[in-house]
Amino acid sequence: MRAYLIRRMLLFVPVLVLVYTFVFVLIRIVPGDIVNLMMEGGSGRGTSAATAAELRHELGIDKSIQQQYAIQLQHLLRGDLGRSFRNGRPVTAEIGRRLPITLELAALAIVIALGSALVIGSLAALRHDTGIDRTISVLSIVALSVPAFWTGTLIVVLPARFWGYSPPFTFSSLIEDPTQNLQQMLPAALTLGAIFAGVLTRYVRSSLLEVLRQDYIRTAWAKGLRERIVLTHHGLRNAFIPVITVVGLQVSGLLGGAVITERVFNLPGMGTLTITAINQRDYPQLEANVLVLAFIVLVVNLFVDIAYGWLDPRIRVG
Amino acid sequence: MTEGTSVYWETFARRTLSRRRALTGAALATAGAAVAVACGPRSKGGGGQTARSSGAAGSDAAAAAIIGKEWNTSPGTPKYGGSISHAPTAPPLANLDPILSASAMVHQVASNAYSKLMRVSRKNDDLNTQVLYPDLATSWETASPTTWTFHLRPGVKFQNVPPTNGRPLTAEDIKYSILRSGTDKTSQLRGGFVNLDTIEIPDPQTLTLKLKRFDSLLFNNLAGHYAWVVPHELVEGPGLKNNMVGSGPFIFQNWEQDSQLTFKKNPDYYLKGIPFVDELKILQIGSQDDRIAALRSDRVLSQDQMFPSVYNSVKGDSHLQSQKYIVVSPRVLFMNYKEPLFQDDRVRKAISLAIDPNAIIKIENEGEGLWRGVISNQIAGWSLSQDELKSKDYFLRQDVTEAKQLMAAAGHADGFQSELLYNTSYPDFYKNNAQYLQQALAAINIKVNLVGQEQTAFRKNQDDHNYKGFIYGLDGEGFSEAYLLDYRSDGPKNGSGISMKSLDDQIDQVLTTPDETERKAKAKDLTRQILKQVLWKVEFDDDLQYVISQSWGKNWMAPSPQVYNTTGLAFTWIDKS
Repeated sequence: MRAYLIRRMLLFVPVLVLVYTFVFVLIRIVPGDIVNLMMEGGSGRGTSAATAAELRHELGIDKSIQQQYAIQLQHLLRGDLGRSFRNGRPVTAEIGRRLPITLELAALAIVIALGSALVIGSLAALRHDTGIDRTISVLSIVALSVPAFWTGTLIVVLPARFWGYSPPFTFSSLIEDPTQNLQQMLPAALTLGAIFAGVLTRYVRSSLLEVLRQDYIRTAWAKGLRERIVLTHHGLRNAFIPVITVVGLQVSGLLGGAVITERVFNLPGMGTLTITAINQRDYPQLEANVLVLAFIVLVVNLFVDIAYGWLDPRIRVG
Repeated sequence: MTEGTSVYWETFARRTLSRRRALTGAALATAGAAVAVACGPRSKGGGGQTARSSGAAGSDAAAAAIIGKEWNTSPGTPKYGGSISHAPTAPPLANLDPILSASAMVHQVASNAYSKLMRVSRKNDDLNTQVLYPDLATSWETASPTTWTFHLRPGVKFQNVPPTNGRPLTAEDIKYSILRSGTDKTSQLRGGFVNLDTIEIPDPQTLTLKLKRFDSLLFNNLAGHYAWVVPHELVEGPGLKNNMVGSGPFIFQNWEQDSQLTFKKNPDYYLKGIPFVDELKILQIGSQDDRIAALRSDRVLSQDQMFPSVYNSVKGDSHLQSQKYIVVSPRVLFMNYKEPLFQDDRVRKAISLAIDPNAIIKIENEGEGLWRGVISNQIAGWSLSQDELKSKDYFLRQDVTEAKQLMAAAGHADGFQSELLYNTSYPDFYKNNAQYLQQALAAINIKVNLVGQEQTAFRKNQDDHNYKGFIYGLDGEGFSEAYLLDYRSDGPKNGSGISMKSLDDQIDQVLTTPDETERKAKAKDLTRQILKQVLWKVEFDDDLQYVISQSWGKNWMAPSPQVYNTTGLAFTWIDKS
């Protein structure tokens, strides 16, 4: 196992280098840079070109892509991910502030999704081909089809319209103010979790249906075990393997892709930071964000692979 | 039972308890969280606390006297205490250094921590008439068009936090700040000081600006957002990108990027008894739906630039009040100056005649707006009247028949192909307007292909004039005659790339005319010339929109869109009685 872990982690390095290089080149090929935005609305009158040149020189983006890459690689090797073009702060400082927000949102969404999918998906499987099963199928399709921005907007707008209430729009951490934190996070997590639950419910249902047809399940029934025991202790455990694969994939999406939900609920997470970095051509921030997110995805996938072995001893990793 | 099955059951028995515990724990945690949310108090950031009665600095009468002289007044006795949250409608904030950005947000934030020579407000009953108040300068005079003298307020100090630690603010600090804005190589505001020659300090309470020639915009710039007074210790030390230390009414506490900025009352502010509230929060809420929800749920003080439909949806909320005002709509259709087709003024006039400004107003502001010539209607007295703009003297009206005749006379009866570049990062009505323009031009056989680009790429192409045919973008905003700068060859928003020496000279003639009445007349004459020739740009309209604010926010004056200040927050108090 240890050798396996070391091998997998060594593979992180080339993957991360490739990801970094790809993003580095791609964002510089896209037209425009942060100076174009900084100059927007400037007073001109003969000063624009000189100011723009000075700004580009200060930021180091007047050099060729190859020169910039060489300089950045040297910094990376020293562990320096650079400073944001926007505010001059170390990019890690902003990531350090925002990553926990996204992680909390992702964790809550997963808990909500997994919790509801396990219950509802199991019910659908156990009551296969009944009205309950069909209702759950329809609801899960609706849940995964309805876009997050629609649900989220309704959650924000309707209570404000009818009851004069809205979730808070400024973030407080769980430690600073748990009540305000959850008032903001739970609606967002529910919005995201609902979509995820729709996806997971279908996987739980189909995977459990497959497992319930196995001999050992028939043995469990024959032994006289109660339905709850058969389901939770034997069925779900084995049905969980494909489900955990989906969870692993969704986590990657949640970490980098909850942009719309973050925007609707005004959560200053990694999604909005990354999109802002792209829109504003904040190269160091974008590159650092992508590196960190890529690293997390790699770690999550490693855990998923290890979890297979935990769930089913017949699957051994390493 | 087979051996394999036996192993299965043994292994299962060892593992069951830990997974059951984990699932149970998770379920309990989620349930607990749900209960906490349901039972938790509804926390408000929008000044939800009723102001405590005085015990704080200044008496009510003294405060009332101050705001009578230094800012707008409104009925009611000032009350002290509480916290206000304000969520401006403004682009994201990149950093806090006011010279690095000309966009609204940084200056709206800066206006709470910094001071400048004058303050700009608007009339209570007419949001389109500007009013100047003293700030660091208590009075000013012009000995000649090129010599301006400002008499400074005595006893002003920087805030009592590092690195200034409450030291006196001097004329040297004001000079330093103006020169920083006007000469720093990275300053976005440098162009506003091109006509400034020297700054003299004849005595500690007097500042004299000597100009190379009269510049009407310079005075407006000094009152606007071009010369926040910053301490050199901060510039030379940690810098201004992430810090603000000034002499303003609020002391900067913290900035969480893309989330909020927090300020506390400056107890040593030179206007005793100001500000009224103890705490100020500037929230960055990106979505308009969220901002409106925050307004309705009492979380923020005010929202400006609200569409008529938003006003209609909230006007029934008893805790909200509203005012209507003119907001410049800076969206224009540029024609690329370099393209030979557009050198023929008949083609340009035909293009303008093909478009109906009322259609644009309907799409982008639900039908409530005014026609605009060159200068916005926002400031009274500078723009041409609506009747004149709609007359046959100009080409803003829609007349497809006349347009086709002009195209035929220019040898383009069959039209031509072209492109229209537009910004996909702006709200939807941009795209809708672009589609309307495409249809309107098709009526005179100009077939345009719509090309959408995101913000930064669009800005680059607009600035470099790197587009084919047309661009539907933004021109500048500012005080009255500043709109003429967009026609100047080095103008900040010269999206067409116009480069005409004669036009540059005429614009300079307007801007260097000291007498305001004469200047207005010249500006209008130049406007007429530009409109008669359709100089590579079609400007459509100004919008009639709403400022909606909480009724408990007393004496609040929403910022003028072309003056990037929220100075009014210092003079606002909370009264929920």
